[in-house]
Amino acid sequence: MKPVQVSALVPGMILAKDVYQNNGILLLNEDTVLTAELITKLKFWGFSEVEIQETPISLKDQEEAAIAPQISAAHDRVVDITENMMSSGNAKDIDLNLLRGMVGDLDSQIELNTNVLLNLSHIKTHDNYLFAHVTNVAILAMIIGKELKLSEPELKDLGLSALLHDFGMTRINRDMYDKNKPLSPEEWLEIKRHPDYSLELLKESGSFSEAVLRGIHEHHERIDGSGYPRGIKGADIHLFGKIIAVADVYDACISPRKHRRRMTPYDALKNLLSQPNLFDIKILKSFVACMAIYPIGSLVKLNTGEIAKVIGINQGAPFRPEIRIYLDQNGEPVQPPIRINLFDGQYLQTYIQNTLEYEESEKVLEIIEKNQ
Amino acid sequence: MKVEFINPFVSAAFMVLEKVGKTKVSKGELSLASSPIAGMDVNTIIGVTGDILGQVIYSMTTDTAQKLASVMLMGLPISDFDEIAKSAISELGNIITGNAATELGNNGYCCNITPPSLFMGKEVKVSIKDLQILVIPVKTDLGNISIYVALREADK
Repeated sequence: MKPVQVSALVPGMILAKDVYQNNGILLLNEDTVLTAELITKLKFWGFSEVEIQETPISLKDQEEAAIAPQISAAHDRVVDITENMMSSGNAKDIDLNLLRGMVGDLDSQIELNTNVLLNLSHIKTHDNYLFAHVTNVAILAMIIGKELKLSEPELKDLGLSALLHDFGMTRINRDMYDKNKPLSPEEWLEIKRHPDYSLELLKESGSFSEAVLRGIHEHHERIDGSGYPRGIKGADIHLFGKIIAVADVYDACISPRKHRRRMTPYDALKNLLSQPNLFDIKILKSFVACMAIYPIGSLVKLNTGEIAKVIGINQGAPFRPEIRIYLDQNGEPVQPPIRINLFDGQYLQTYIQNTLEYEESEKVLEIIEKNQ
Repeated sequence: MKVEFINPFVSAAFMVLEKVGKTKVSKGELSLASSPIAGMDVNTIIGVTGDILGQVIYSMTTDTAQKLASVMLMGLPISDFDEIAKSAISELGNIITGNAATELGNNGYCCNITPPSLFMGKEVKVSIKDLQILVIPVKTDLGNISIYVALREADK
């Protein structure tokens, strides 16, 4: 703890003691991370000096830095193993016990720290889109499943179904789904066969429950009947199919592909929510409840003019995430970036004004990377 | 109550409802209300502390609240006023009040705001002691919103 003149405060410093007004009203708590806005307030209120903590690293940052490598390694492991197991497109190569073990791993990662995990699935890029994609879809599907309060065995089956949901794609020439221009109508027809391929290949093995198989087969069906392969509607689509559909579309949208750029997380969410005729409304609601309005990875502009990245979700407060401020109101990098939780009382006057559009978003991401 | 306490709320409400609620906004005649306030079905209450003390209440019908929530949730249909819709309406009150508080700060009254509390039901009456209460009636395409402002300067 050290006293610092208010005129010498810089954003990112952390208060070591509560700050009170003359009349005894608590203005700012101990452990408050100072922002430009709060420093202005302290000046305005006429304080000359406040007590500041010696280390400017928040406890949460320390905590997350400790577990991030573990979560990252577990994520990589699932991508690698699914790739080894599924690349051949041969159902005999699927080791069901190993696959179940990985679903268990993903489940414990979600329990450990969903925020760190989701940050990861946004950042990581893999040479082979397909297996990173199925891993991310399994994570998202299980997060939705938890929100829907599925039983533990159901959740495990859902995870299994999600990991295998694109198995039939291995039968399709990789150049076709990974190429850099839009598909021709013939190619598109072939792609649309992948749920049937998946079902055919996996049913034969006899090791999967009906729920798992239906999740796989029906993840491209849509509520209004406009989906494929069968064009079935609403209640006829299995719950797993409906959940995987939402997770699949979201991850596909935020992933860069050779033939198109990625969407921002906010636009990807908007794309889902604005089409309630295609997706199950109850599942969309659960999805917003866990992903929030500004999903992890979103770059946002605050009403203070600062630019921040969403790094954590507060359950029950979808508009008030945890953020890290990277650019000040003049667009200058903030060093080190400041982590604040918009749900905390002292930041209630700060709010997210809008999300950045794709181009600006990519530019800011570049600056962030350069300064790391 | 000073007019300079009211104007920031009027301009903040207009700005936020136009931008966040994506609706046209107009204002009715200001009037005085007496305590206890009997609002509409959905009432968001936010406290103001610092150089100015008091409460601000945003009152609207469930129908208006659902429509606003749906817009804030990017078009997701809201057929019952559930948790996610409640958080949207709380945030709307939070943003308007936060904006007004920032404006008050620019005018020399530096204040903080408290987390929004949401009260539901026509039977709810809110008592505000020893403060004059001003009502700002706001008309939008999604329905009417009454903003009750009860603020005073803090004793130095």
